[in-house]
Amino acid sequence: MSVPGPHDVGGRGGYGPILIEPDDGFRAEWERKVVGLTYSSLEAELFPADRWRARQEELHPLAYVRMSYYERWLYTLERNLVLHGVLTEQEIDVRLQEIAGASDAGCSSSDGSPDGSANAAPERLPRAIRPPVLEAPLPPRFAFGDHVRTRVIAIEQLGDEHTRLPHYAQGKLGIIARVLPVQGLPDAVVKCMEFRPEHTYSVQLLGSDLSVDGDPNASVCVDAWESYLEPAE
Amino acid sequence: MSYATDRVIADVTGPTAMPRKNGELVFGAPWESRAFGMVVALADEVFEWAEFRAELISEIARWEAADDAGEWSYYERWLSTLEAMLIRRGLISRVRLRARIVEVGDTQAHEHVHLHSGRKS
Amino acid sequence: MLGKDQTYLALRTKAIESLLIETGLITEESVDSIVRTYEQDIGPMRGAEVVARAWTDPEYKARLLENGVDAVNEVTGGGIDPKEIVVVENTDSVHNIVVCTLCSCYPWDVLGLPPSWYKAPAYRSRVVCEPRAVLREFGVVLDPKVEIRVWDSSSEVRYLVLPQRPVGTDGKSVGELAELVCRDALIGAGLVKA
Repeated sequence: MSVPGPHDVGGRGGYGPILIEPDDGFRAEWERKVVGLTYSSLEAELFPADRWRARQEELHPLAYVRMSYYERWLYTLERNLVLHGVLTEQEIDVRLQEIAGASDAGCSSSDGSPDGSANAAPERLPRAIRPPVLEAPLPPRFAFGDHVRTRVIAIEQLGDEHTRLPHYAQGKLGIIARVLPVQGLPDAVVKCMEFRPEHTYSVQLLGSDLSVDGDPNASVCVDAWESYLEPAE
Repeated sequence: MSYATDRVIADVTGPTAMPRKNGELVFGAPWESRAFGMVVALADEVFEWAEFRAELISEIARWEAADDAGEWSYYERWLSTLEAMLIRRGLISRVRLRARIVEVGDTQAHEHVHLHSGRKS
Repeated sequence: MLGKDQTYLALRTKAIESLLIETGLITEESVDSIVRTYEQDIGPMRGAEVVARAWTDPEYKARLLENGVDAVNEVTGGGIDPKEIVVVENTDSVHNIVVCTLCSCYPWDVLGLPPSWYKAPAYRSRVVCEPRAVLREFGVVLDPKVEIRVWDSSSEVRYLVLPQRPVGTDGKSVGELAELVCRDALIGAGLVKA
């Protein structure tokens, strides 16, 4: 199996106790703005939500933990706006300097950002057009109670490729607990900007290897797209 | 590399626990974040995390016992520990470190000027 | 964004916002109103109302368990994103709890903004392998015979827990019952007390 991305934390040990604190909400106004900008951008279909999620996954694990939750939102917002040809890093840098009121417009404020030559606007990518009615080409392959096995899905390049089958849930036996609606396969949106409608299911995973204390009375139900599943004997 | 990160951030209790809020690591300033990053990057490559941790505990105890200890800063202790370990292993020299601190101080003051509307802060 | 201070982050956000508004692709109003809605207008009370109604109206409860979006829209007056909402019912023999291990997907439309612990890796990593211990950390101690089901929201489906109605609440109005329902119980990390 490929190494899980920094986001794929299910079943990983070492995070310690859960810190249940009174909510801070937003710690700064810019965090609130980032959320608003993200939702507005998604509504305006500047890039698909699946790619918004996927881009964060390319972060080096060390960078991922050093950045706060909303810093990661800002990171992926900017990366997606740039990669989908909406804005360029250069114009963001320039605008930042203008706002900061710096007199020297040529001064870049971001350490290590690419030089101007790398900032030519990329070809504007076509948006994944989500059809108004979601229909899968064939009827559901599985039904409630069916025994299935989840696939092992290798991600070669985090950020450019993506899956929504968590690492802990890969290569496991399960039972269809629920048939869910048709949904577009995120893996295809991220990799090739294709909207591939598939039947989805809630799969109750079996096996005590998921449970640290082998609790036979606990199980995890994970949502899976049909292409994540194979029939089990 | 992800495993070194996991091991380091798993340290959630005791004197060496990194400051956290709402389940996330908190850095009061960018240098703290960089200090954290440096140690994790070096852990497993240059020294063991367990060794750094043990040194950090000693460093914290030393600070607590000192007469002229200023305000508590977790990452200042972290950085002191890192410096001491690197110097002890001969990876950097104390003299070069001092010279570099002066250089960087000048550069950063210069950068600060540009970002804050031409006024020195 | 790595290693940048708050001033820089605010400036970068402002730079992006001003550029996007100039392109005409978004408006300042849309940016601000979306968050305002989730911060102020939608709180866990929507979810609480749904639960209180389900406790007092068996036919509504049946509709809720059958088709979450439609039933929630009955209470909220419409406007719930057509994403599917699946309501999972707690009983004497089953306790449900919801997570998004891969990021922090949450039923915003029904519960408002997610709590910080829900988004943090400790909860996300541990609830799928030691849910009973995690529940204890939330003060929920279940009989070992009670089955725990953890729902990992890896798709666009959002899960809402229908907690058990506490004993000793007969005669309470729907409004009074709604007030008893706390946000954590709707995630499955808490129980509703009378």
